[in-house]
This record gives sequence, structure tokens and C-alpha cells, in this order.
Amino acid sequence: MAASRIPPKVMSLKQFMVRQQVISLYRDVFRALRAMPDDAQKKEVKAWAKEEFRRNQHHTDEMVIKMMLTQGKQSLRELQKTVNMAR
Amino acid sequence: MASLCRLRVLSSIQNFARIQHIRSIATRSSSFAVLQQGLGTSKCNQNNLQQRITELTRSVRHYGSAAEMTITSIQERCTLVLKLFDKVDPEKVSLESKFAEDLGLDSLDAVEVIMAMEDEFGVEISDETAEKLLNLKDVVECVADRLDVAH
Repeated sequence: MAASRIPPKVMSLKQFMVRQQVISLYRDVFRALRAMPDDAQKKEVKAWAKEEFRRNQHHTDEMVIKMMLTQGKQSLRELQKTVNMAR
Repeated sequence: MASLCRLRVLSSIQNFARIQHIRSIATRSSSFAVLQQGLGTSKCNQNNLQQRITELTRSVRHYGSAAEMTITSIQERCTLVLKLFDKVDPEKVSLESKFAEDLGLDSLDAVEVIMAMEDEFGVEISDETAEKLLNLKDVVECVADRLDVAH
């Protein structure tokens, strides 16, 4: 009768860490966008980033998510570089 | 950023100088009014002058000071921001409603809401703090903390 206190649908530690990384990447993208001077462009890139996250929301395979994270980080770096140049 | 700061300091110095100027005008004109009264001009005239002086001194806006913020005004602004968020049903918004359970927002939406609040108040909310903000009341308290408003 030693029932676990942990509810059945809880994430594993690894899943939790990856999720955290995705959320912080999402936040970082938005932070980077704040510095963008052109409002129309900002809106466009924001919508694109949002869509990209939503489009890949269903993935559960950790490797796939990690790969996309790396890709996302690369895009973010590129974005930051471009924004810095534009200023 | 530094240049902006410098500009602000400069403008506040200018403003200070302007206030000093107005003060000197005020004292000069009030002494003039006293003189006039001594010479037998009507008291009504002096009242007018006094009024004009208070108007003049009151209309000066201090550049460094932002609008006074209270906990209720923060609450109002937070509620408005949340209501304007496109995935939120404005009817359901209250101080107690939870982002995830009551308003149907997922973790990405919650990030967006917190970022919108940051934009609204010009404060920075760190990732760790943002994770703990589950309903509007938490956000209001966090923002009030950042802005040094008692609650």
C-alpha cells in the first residue's frame, strides 16, 4: 500500500530541464526583440517566433527537442547580432 | 544610455533654474503687490495676483519624478494588460484567477503576459521570479515590490 505521492503525469527531471530551457529561450527571443528599432519588423519577427514555437509544441522526443533548442539558440544569436548592427 | 542620463540631469538642472526664476518673479511681484496695497489699491487685485503666482509655481512639472503609483493603480493597469491579451477572455479576469487553470494559458502564454507587464511598468522580472507568478495578484505584488510601492 505504499502508494507514491507523486502524481502519475509528472515530468521526469530531464523533461523538466528541457522544458525550462525552451521557456527561457522563448523569453530571450522576446527580450532580444525589444531592442529592435522598426515596429513593423518587430511585429513580424514576433509572430514568426511565436508560430515556430507553437508549431513544434507537440514534440515529445527529447533528442528532437534538444536539436530544435540548439537551432533556436542559433537563430537567437543571429537575431541579436542583426539587431545590434541595426542600432 | 549614458547620454540619455546626462540629458535628463541637464534638463532637471534647467528646470531647477526655471523654478528659481519663477520664484524670484513671485517674490518681486508680491512685494510689488504689498507696495500697491500700501498705496491704496484694492485688495481684490492683490488676491488675483496671489492666485496667478500660485498657478505659475504649481504648473511647473518636475522632470525627475514619475507619476505617483499606488497599489490600486498597479492593479488596474495589470488587469487591463491581461484583458488586452488576445488569448484571454476579459470576462474571466479577476485578481484571483490563475493563468493556467482559470484563464487557460499555457507556459508560453504566461511568459508573454509577464513580458507585457514588464513593458507596461518598465521593470525587469527575472526568470526565477516569473515562474512563481501564477495569478494576477502575484504579479501585482511583484511589480509593486519592484516599484517600491507599499502593499
